[in-house]
Amino acid sequence: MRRRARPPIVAVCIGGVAATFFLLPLVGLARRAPWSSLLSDLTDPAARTALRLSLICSLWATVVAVGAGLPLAWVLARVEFPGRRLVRALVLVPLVLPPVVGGVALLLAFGRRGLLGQYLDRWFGITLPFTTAGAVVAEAFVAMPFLVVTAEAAFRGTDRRYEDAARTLGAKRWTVFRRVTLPSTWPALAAGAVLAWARALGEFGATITFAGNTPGRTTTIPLQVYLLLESGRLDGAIALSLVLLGVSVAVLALLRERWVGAL
Amino acid sequence: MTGGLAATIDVTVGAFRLDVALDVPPGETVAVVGPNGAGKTTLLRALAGLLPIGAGRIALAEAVLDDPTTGQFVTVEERPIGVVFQDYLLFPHLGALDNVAFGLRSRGATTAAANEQARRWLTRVGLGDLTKAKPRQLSGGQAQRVALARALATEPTLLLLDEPLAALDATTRVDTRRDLRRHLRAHDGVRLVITHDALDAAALADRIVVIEAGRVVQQGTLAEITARPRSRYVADLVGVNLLAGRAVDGRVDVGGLELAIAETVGGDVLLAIPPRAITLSRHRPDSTARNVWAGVVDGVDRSEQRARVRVRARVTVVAEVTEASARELDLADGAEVWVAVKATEIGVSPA
Repeated sequence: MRRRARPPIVAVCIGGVAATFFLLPLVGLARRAPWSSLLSDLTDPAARTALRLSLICSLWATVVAVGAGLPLAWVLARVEFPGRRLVRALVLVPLVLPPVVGGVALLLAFGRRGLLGQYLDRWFGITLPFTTAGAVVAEAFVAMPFLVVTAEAAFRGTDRRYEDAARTLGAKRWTVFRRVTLPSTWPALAAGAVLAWARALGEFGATITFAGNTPGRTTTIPLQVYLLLESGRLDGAIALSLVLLGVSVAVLALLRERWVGAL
Repeated sequence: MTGGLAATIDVTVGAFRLDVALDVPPGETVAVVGPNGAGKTTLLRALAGLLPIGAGRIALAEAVLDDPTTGQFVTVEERPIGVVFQDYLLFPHLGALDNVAFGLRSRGATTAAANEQARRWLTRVGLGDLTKAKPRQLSGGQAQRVALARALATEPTLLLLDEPLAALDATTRVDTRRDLRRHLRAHDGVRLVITHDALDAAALADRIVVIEAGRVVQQGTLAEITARPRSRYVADLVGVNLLAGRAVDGRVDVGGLELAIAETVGGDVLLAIPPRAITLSRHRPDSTARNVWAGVVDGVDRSEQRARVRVRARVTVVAEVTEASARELDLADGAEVWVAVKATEIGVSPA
């Protein structure tokens, strides 16, 4: 009988420590969770406002990300133009940029004296910072890359010959996209949208920097968690954290197949 | 010539250049034959408008589709073409009916009208009861028929078929080929079939155009090309003797000549005899070959090393012998020779 190779002890030990490192915070959260008062913590007016605002902002941010990100992803996948690689890299900036820096950058661009913001203010009377719209902008900024990257990969991965076939049948560009490209890529596009939504829902740094922390206007769940912790109301903070954790787990479960397939 | 296809195409893709001229009157089926990489698919893409040409002119039914000198270019979606692609490329998320109706709807028909007409086309190709089937549920032969119905449904002036039978197994192929021929005959536009199979070309086309390395090397009817193939490739491909006959118990009656074959099929068959499988001699051969008959030399086509000899008897075949043995046998027109072919050398296909 062949002797089985001995597992490398050192690697197994360190790996175990790393796995525990991921697990321990979750255990801590669950152990300290105020299960008995959970409902009242979540239906507390401030919590309800934050939940509602978070839902609205993250959905609008997803709409913006899909509405602007899909065409961008399609162009990046299908149109050859000088500087395409540069634009592709640009899309990834919000992924690697610290969100706080993103928020500062947004202020300098869309603030009342910002690059574009001054004209928005002067010509249209639109002010983004410290408004709900500003929170949406901040969330869309950090969330859109997830949509663009996923959608571009999907568009590049489709068999172009089906689109050629559709064109020989007289289908114009939009018809080809709607009736051929979209049906073959929608699972990936939906996954990208869900990822973008989840990222928008959890957004903190860019939002608090660009949109501030005004209850009812810009205080989304993560910001509310921060406020509660600051004022020592741990139970409320944990209750809202559990909501975000639940959403994360749900997204993970929903997209597990795709990720496992991609790995 | 009115209403046909008149194309001079000069297009470069990477390091490959396609430079061909093609004239096809309406009602004619032309088979474009050539080895891999000869430019067949490039030609199809240029005609379809998926690839703008660099120089030349493509005109169909008096309308210019592509002319770089005037800048005229009709886009793919506006060309009156129908294409059957190599792997059919049926839209996987649509049922058979929706696939066939796709072109009609894209060209502005209402859903009801498009469905109605698509149903008629599906019935015409014998799939009237498979309207809801998704492409993955269809057999190869059925998918081919749906693809054909989809291409024909918009009643195109130019029908392009890219290796329409290549993906099918031998048995399905025979039936599908016969049906395809019927549908091609019924279509009154220009028909262009790309294939690498001599039997398909012979069965489907009125005329064969051979392209190699981006150039037309030869064109004509199968008989013309078989008689004088202009390249090694053509000789191997269409230089095969194709004979139609009727098989009973391993013997085939071909125009009064009875040939033995190694396969047990019945009914109408097509026999393929490679010229190199035929042996010629001046006296009745003392050979194990089961098929031996006498004939008269009716044309000798000599190239460097080889000679192609036409032998006329009840059936006419072309034999290929070395130039040396042609000289030795003194094969000139009118010479009497014996033809010998082993039964195992004869390819058989139900017609």
